[in-house]
Amino acid sequence: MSREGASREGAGRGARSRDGVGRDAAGREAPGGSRDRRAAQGPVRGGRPRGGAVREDETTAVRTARPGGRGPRPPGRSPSVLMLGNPRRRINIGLVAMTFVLSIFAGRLVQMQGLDSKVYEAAAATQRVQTETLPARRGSITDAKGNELAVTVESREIAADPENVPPQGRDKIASVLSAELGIAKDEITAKLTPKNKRRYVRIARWVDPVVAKRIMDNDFKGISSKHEYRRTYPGGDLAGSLVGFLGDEGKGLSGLEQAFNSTLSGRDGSQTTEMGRDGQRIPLTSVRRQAPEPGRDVRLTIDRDLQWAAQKVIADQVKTVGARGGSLIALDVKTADILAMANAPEVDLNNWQKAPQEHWINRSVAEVFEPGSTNKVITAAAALEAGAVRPETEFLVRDSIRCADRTLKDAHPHPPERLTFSGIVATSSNVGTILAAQKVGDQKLHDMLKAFGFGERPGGGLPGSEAGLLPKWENWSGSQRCTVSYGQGVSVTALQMASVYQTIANGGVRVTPRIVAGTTDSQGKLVPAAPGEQRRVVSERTAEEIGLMLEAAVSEDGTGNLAAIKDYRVGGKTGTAMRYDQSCQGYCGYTATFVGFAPVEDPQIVVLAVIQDPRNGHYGGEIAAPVFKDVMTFALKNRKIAPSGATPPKVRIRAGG
Amino acid sequence: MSEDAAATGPQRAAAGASRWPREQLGTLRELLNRPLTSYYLVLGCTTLLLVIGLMMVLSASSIEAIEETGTPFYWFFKQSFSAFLGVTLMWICSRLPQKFFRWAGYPLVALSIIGLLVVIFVGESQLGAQRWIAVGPFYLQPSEPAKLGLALWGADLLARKARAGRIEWRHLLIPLMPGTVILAVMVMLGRDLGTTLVLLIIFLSLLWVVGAPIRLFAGIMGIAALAAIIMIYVEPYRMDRITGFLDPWADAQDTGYQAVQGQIAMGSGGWFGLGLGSSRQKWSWIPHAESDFIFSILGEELGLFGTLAVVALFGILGYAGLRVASRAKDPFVRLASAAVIAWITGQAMVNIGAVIGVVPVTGIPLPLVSYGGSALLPTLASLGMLLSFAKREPGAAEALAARGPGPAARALSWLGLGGAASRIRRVFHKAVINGTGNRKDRHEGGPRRRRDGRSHRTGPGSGRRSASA
Repeated sequence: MSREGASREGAGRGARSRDGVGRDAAGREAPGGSRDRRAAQGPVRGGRPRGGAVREDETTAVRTARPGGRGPRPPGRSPSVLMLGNPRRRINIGLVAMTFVLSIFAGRLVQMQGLDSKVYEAAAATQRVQTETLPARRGSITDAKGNELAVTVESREIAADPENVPPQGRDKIASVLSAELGIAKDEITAKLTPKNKRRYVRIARWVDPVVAKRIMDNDFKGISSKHEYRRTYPGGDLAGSLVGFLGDEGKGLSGLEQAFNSTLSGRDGSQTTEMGRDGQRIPLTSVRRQAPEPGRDVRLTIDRDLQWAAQKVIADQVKTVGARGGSLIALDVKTADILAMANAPEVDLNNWQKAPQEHWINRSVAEVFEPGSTNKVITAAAALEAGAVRPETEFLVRDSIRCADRTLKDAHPHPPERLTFSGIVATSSNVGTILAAQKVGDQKLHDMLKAFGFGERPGGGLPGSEAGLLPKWENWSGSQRCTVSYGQGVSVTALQMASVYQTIANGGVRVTPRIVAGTTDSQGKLVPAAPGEQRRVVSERTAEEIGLMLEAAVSEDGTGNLAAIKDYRVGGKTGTAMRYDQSCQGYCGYTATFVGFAPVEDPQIVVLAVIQDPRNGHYGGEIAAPVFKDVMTFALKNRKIAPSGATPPKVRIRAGG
Repeated sequence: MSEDAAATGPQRAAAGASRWPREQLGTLRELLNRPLTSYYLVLGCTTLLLVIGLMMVLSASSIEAIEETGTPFYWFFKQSFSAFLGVTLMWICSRLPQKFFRWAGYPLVALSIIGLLVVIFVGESQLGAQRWIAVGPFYLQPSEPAKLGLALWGADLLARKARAGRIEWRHLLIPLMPGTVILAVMVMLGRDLGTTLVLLIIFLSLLWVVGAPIRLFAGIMGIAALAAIIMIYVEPYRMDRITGFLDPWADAQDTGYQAVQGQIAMGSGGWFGLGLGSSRQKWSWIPHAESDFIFSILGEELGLFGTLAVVALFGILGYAGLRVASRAKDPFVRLASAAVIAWITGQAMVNIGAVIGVVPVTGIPLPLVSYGGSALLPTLASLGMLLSFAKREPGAAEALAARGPGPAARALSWLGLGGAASRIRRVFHKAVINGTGNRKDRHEGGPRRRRDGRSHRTGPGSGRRSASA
């Protein structure tokens, strides 16, 4: 701007009209020449309102000169006429003001974006950065052949953000969701209605991905689908209490699911992502990502088919005899692998919440009972090992015997008879067993019981297994000395008893029972579990002799003849024990057992069936032996074991017989 | 002014030859004193801001667009169409004579008033403000052309009333003041505080540039303050806006939400920004990210240098506009240029200020940058008008003529259509000459024009053009 010019004009103007009031207000006007001319025309203008008295830069028509402005008027005196400021100066002031404001803005920008940006970045991080867990896929539990007993599948969780669901669309969304998910429409409508400013309301879990996709294809506002895993049990109640189930948080609550939880669950990963306000993941903003480590598979020694058969047979029998429950165990003789472990009643794993809590436990290893006559093989083993008796040793057996303060009886009254030791075992004579035990002595009997695994957990990593009860021999009461020999006064679990017969069948070598065949490594390859620990309990000869006694017990003369299988040599022992019941503070009811193995010439499979508190019949030979027979028959066929060629050797039962 | 520059220029150059910075300064001065400086500055700033705007509209609206319409380009295409119309309008306006703009203010104000009436009765209400008329797929906002209308109408009124550095009180305020009040009240009825503010800025800038006394401004400010208090009393949500402005972080989830989200976006942009398209805050965090708060997305993606560039562009645009106003001999040109530039830069300041937390959030778009065709068209039209004025600055016409035919004209002549092109040019030239020349003929007569020409040294130019016409 021409300061020089302005002052020149100001001077000229002041000389002319003194309207400047110190301001060079006319600075916007054209240069001097015309102003001088206009000053000269001043008086003329009044007389000629419409004329050429217009400055050349004001090209407008001067229609505004009103009559009021007529005549020579001392400038600035009339209150209605204003002297105007210098527009150029005003414009310059405006320019300065604009520059000033924009400079402040620039300063504020430098402060916000340059100096304080960390503060805002932190605020941005708190609201946008979210860490999500990437759930690890849980490993499967399979049977020995890899058939899945528990498996994790893809699934979706459908949820709503009620604040985002348009109120007018609520009804339509609810009816579609109701049809797809099979949930009552009212329930869904209630969840879609905003309440307490909640932004995430779960509508359904474990939705099939196909169904979820169908729902999401509708593009409902405020409805979201989240990836999740669902644990499912294809077999339903197959090996239910053995396998166990998961709680809501995906952790194992019982059974093997609990015992092998850390192996199965793997490790969850995490992902830190920036999120949009509506929950969108902003692409390419993943700050940290830790991939989930999938869980390992656990392969069991269970054979699915045998398990199914065992479960069906024991369940049917438990129902038929009106028993409280039952268990069935099948073991491989050589490896002590558990081929089947069935309990009745069994829990349906896909609906475990609905089953009573007592069915959640694995009875086979957790239920402790007095074994009864099946225990006689241990007395026999102790007697034979000690050299106190031979199988042919004869005893005069009455039907009762006085022992300390009690008179102990055989199951059925009979006249005194002369029986071989084999005969005592085969006919399951209590009195005869007591006579043999008396020849062995308490300590030796106790040690043999202990050697067979009584009083300690059977091992093998079975969850919930109990040790049973084996009192020290010094503490045995007078009558207990006698009763222990035939299986009253000690208590065991079904697995412990099955293990005893595995030892006998295996030539006297006890193998720790095994339930897990192996786990997969990170590449998915199976790593076999260590084989069961082997320990010789009795000599091979003793084992063989007891085997023959047990075969005799299944013969026509024995108590377990209902367990005989055509074309196979079967050895086994019945057991009918008085059952101690907490609820009646004493012995009421029975425990019926049958445990045996086949084929006797080369034992392969041990099967134990135990039925607790039967109402229709109670003898092991009557109600447990058929169960044994059915399952053993199935197992022999299932494992393709050839029928026994040779006929069994004749075992003398009665003296002179 | 041009004489002074001509006189001082060589001296400065001579003095500055010894010292390098002074030489640079001299070069800059010389550059700024070139005849077409205003023209190119306005054109350059407008183009840059428009291009940045389209870019940012695409970036800021893409997420919402893809969620709601399935294509990220939905709003970008609409805005591009508006920009195409706007640039065409600007091109036309840059070729229209001053007379047209003097005349255009009246129908524009009338149409705006009708539009505003329509809005009040049948308008679409969005987010607490009722300011749209739905016409097919487009939403028209009559308050936007009202700004241009007020600027033109007011400039014409005052240019006619103010003479010889004097004006009557009555003429200064009537009918401009009631007109402004009517427009402002109608806009206010649509609950649009920001546009009311812009109308007030236009009104005040007209009064300021025409040279109204300072005490008048004091009075108007007092009245405005009183009105603001009354309005806040009537519509309590405005008070929330103001308290939200004072400390938006105090209620970051509710009243201060938008301001806080905008500041987070700005701040996390840092020095160089996250990169074009990488804004995180546009993922539904910032309401109106593509319109009122587009500056925050710009800050996040382009960083401090991007925001400073935009602020600088508005500053340069403001400078260029005021330069046109300052160099204009015609009071209408001066008033209209100043009012238009006050509107555009004022609106930019109110918008940017809201985003950076120095003024309350009023809900007006950033001129040329924000999404919205209703705002873009009048803005580009007014900038076209500025170009038209800039072309008539002293010496500009010669410089334009010396430029020779543009690339388009050269291409046309190469195709053998040069005749048509030059005919079109001539028609426009004629219109321009007639626009100014006729009036001069009518009111001034021959001798005056001759003198005028001599005294201003623009004479040869206009003379030659007259001769050719």
